[in-house]
Amino acid sequence: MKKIIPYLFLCLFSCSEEKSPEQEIHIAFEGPEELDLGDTGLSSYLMKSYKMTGTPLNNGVLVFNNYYDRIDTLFFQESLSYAKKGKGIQKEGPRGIDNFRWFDSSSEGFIFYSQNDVYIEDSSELKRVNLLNDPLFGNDNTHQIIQDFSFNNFANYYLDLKTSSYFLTKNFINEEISFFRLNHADYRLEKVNVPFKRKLLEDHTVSYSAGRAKVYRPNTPHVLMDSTNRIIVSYPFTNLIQVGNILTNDFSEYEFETFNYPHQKKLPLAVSGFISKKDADEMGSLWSNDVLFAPIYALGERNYVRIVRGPKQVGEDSIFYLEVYDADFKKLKELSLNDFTDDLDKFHLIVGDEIIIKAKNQPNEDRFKFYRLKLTIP
Amino acid sequence: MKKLILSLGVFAISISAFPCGGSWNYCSTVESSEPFEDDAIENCCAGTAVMLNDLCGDEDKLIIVTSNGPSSSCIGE
Repeated sequence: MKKIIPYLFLCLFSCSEEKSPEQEIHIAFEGPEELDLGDTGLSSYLMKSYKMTGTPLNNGVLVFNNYYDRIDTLFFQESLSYAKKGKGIQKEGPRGIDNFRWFDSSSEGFIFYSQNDVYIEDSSELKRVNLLNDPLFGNDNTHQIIQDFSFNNFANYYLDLKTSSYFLTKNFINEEISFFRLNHADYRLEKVNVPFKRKLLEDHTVSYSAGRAKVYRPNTPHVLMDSTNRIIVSYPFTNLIQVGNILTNDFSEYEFETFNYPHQKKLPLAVSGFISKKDADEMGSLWSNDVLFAPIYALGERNYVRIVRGPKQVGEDSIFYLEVYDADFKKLKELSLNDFTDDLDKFHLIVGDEIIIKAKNQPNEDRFKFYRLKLTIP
Repeated sequence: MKKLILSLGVFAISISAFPCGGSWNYCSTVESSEPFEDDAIENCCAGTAVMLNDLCGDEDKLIIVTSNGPSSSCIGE
């Protein structure tokens, strides 16, 4: 049963000096609504941990239901939001895929990414491409892994998934981030030249040694490909945005003033010598709880949005903001989402041209409570 | 609540055979991530990556095992 209690409709006028003063942004904030998870076995409490992808749907998201090893669908329609059971995923056998980290979907089938493998599935076969055999990727000694993406930190509006797949990797020996394209015709791997901000990434690497392991706070860049060969790179720890063409290697950088939160997380304390696990955890918490920039998403063909969580103390409530950009990455607006409600969680999805934001309070595990944010920029 | 308990209970069930790789859930406000780290170190091969999702906060962690664990399948290779 869907209920829409408060309905707020605001017309906000852009007031920053550098923007066109006539620019209007209409923001409709609706909810809370509930999506009945029904008998899928999905839990509203575990949304953050599910692997999801939005492609190729425009009114829902695909979610891997790890309870039943199945790819289900969550539909966020205006008239009715509901969950639908989907295709089962085998973990063993010739079509078995175990422990994949994230997945993509196209009209041809699914693509699954595990630590060192890409599985390309169509109706007739499942092709497993082991990347450790490829000299471009690395070997057992480089500890190169495909990064763990979920819907919330990776979004591809434009991807030719019939012919290729794209993914980020990190080499945990030299800490280098790379972007790869895998050609599905000959399974040839190609390194795509993206000028990731290596020094910034190094500065914001928070880790400690735990004997035979190293423990990191995730700082993976966000990547959005929203048109042919165009890539938009952003980072969870800074407001810097890179926009470029992966064929011409022509990249521009944008860094706008922020009005309500810092433009970057404070650098983690440099430590030399031994540090206790407790002290390392405290340092990590300080960094994790500082300002956090979510991925950038495209809304329609003309605008981009990003949700930012302001800095907080451990255990404190979060304040969330919305940044709105135009197609040329001019910042049009920065507003507090807590003006609508404080019942907000960091977890959000882009469904069609709407932002679905999880409610902080989830009273029922079987019903996903959320808010719906719609933007209209005339 | 039952599904959350099941999810968080994965760790308790899997002490004897820690699943190397993949993503696991924990709740930073009520438990430490240390048992996960210790199990990965003990049971996993070098190069294994285990992602820990914090369901109760922002304390997500990525564990990279840097040398073969004494109880891992690759020890002695």
